[in-house]
Amino acid sequence: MSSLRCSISALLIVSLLLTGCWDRRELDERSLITAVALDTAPEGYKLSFMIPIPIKIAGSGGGGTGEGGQDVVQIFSSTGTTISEAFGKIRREVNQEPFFGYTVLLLLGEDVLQTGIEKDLDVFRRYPQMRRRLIPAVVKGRADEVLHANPKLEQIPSNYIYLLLDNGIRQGWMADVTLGDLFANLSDPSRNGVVNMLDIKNDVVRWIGLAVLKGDRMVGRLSDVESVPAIQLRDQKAGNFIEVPCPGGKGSFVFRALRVNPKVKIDNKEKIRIKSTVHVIGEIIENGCKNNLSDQKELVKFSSSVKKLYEQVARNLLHKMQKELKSDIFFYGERIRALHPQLWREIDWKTTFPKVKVEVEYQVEIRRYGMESR
Amino acid sequence: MSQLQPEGTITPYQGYALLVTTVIGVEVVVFPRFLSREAGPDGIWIMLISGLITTFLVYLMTRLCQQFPQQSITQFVPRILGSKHSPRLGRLLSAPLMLLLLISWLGIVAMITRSFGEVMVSAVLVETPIEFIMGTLCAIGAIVTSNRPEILARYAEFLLPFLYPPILLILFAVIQEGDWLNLLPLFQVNWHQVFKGLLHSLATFGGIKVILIFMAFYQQPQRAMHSHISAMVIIMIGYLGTFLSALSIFGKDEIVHLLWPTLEVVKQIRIPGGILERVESAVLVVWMVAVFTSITAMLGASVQLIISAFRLKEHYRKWIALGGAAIVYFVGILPTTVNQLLQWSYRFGLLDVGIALALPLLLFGVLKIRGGKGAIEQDEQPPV
Repeated sequence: MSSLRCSISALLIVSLLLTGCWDRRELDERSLITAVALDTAPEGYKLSFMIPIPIKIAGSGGGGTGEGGQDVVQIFSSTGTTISEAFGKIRREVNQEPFFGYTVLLLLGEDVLQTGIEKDLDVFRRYPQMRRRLIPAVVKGRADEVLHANPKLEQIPSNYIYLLLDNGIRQGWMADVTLGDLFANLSDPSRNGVVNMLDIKNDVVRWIGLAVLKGDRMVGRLSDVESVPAIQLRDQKAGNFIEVPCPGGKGSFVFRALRVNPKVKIDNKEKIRIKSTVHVIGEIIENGCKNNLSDQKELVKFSSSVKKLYEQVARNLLHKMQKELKSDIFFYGERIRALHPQLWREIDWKTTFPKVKVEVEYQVEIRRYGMESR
Repeated sequence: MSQLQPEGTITPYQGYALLVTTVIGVEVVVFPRFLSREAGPDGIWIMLISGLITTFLVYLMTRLCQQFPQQSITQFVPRILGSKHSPRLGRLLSAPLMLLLLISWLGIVAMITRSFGEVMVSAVLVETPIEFIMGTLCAIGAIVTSNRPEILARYAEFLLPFLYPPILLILFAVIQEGDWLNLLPLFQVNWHQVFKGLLHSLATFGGIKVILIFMAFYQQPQRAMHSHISAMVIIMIGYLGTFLSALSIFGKDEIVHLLWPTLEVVKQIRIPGGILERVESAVLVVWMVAVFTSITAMLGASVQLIISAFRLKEHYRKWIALGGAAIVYFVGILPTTVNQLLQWSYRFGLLDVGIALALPLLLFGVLKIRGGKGAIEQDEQPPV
């Protein structure tokens, strides 16, 4: 027994000395990348990383608590024929090993999407640290410009942009798209993806609508108004509030959807007919009309105005998607694949979608009109 | 003949724990991809069917062992195959069967060890040499399997509760991210796809035949059926849940892109309020427990097989365990690529289930032909 004890204690002592933990890297031995931006460059790609400077972040105990914006981050950029080559170049400039575990934002330049992103996203699929939950966004123009923006509300600029998107998604007026959703939309032939779109002007970053993908290419853009029915039909979310002309008069009022419940019926007798019935419950948040809202009859008129506007915007959107962009972002194809497999095998949805008859009908219920009584 | 063995101490619950922890293991992270690739959403019912098939196999094996209570497979198989007059013949005939059992167990354990290492190296511990991860597993496996089967059963009993919480987490992920349209359409596959899907889902049940070894140590073998069947039901629920969640979250076209789909499911989980981030590390720990219990059960079964086949003394056990672990390690590092590894794992899984089908059928067949209970009754008859 004593020999066993001897050998065990010898083992323990040896293991104390041989602390060979290959993957042990303390937090301060990593360069935490909070945002990645990808653009095209003459050689191929331009990759940019935002890395916060730990000593300057408030609460780190380093002293520099008053600073924020571009002062507390460093941005590294490099170009290469492949994304990994660009990454390899950045690695030569960064003092610690780059770590993507806290990356929350992937900004893609508009031109990257126009050439097809399947091959560009390959590296993001392969890299184990990349999280599927990070939020991708398309930037009108160049993506690295957004990294250089200097918002003041948050200490780390990338966090500001992330919260901007996260808030919009949670409030239901931006498309709920994570990197994982983007991957899934790319690999599923019955779906087409959308990505939230950002713009930067005079150092202000703002959401400007949705980028529409067809396959892995960006084929067009939806404005903020067009995005409303798109998000309602696609994500079953409320979408942003909408300005509606007054019933029978000058001026307009603003309607905010609270709950949206679209029902899709696919009919295949001679031709494929798709009918979406969208049930919207909402409230009036601003009334610029003369009508008295406490009158039930007036309220009914208001809701029919909202219905009319919604239907019009949705019809325009569908027309644009079918005739112009030829991209089914509404998951109609997925419904056919799942619920009408026989039909799905017979058709090629890419070429069929522009030709099918799609109808959208809205049912609008105005539940309340704020704290004002009339 | 039960006097040869000490009375067993494995309780019915331990039997249940042993079967669940043995079967659920490394393949949980990978099988949704294969099943979805072969059969798409139809994998749901194909999984169910293969679960029923393996439950039937477990039923057969349990019945077989119940006919020879407190006897190990190395004792009753020669009895069935041989006769009283030439016990040597029975031993000779049963030798290839035992060898096959041994090969399938060691092979499966080797593939489990390697797969575990691959997942760790590809997803989490990128810099760590895979030889180190596998070596540690094998070394600890050898230490644990130097113990008697009763200890292994207690060990499984202790670790089983750790396997339940991830089921809740996976459910959580489905509620957050799942899309029921991804689970449709059903019944679109042809027979060829059904067959291939069945093979792939059957291969995930590798390990069921450890009960052939462990049942010799059961306290009440007559109560084993209940615990074994409920273990199979739990395994089926676990597998179906895993497949449904991966399918509903990713869809059949995205799953095939993911090397370890279940790991990605777990990575999708976001606990509200950000109390816990990156829950996958916690789930990986649990999964490691599941993997390790599979290793110890099957390695332990192999060791016990050798011990009882050669009627070795107890103190040889640790050396056999060590030797077995060494074989496992060296077979485990043989596959050169992940593709080869996955293919080998699939084949060993199928071999395991195949033996689990063939062995009881063969033995029952022989029993039937020889009328009643084979050599055991002949034993009890007075010599002519």
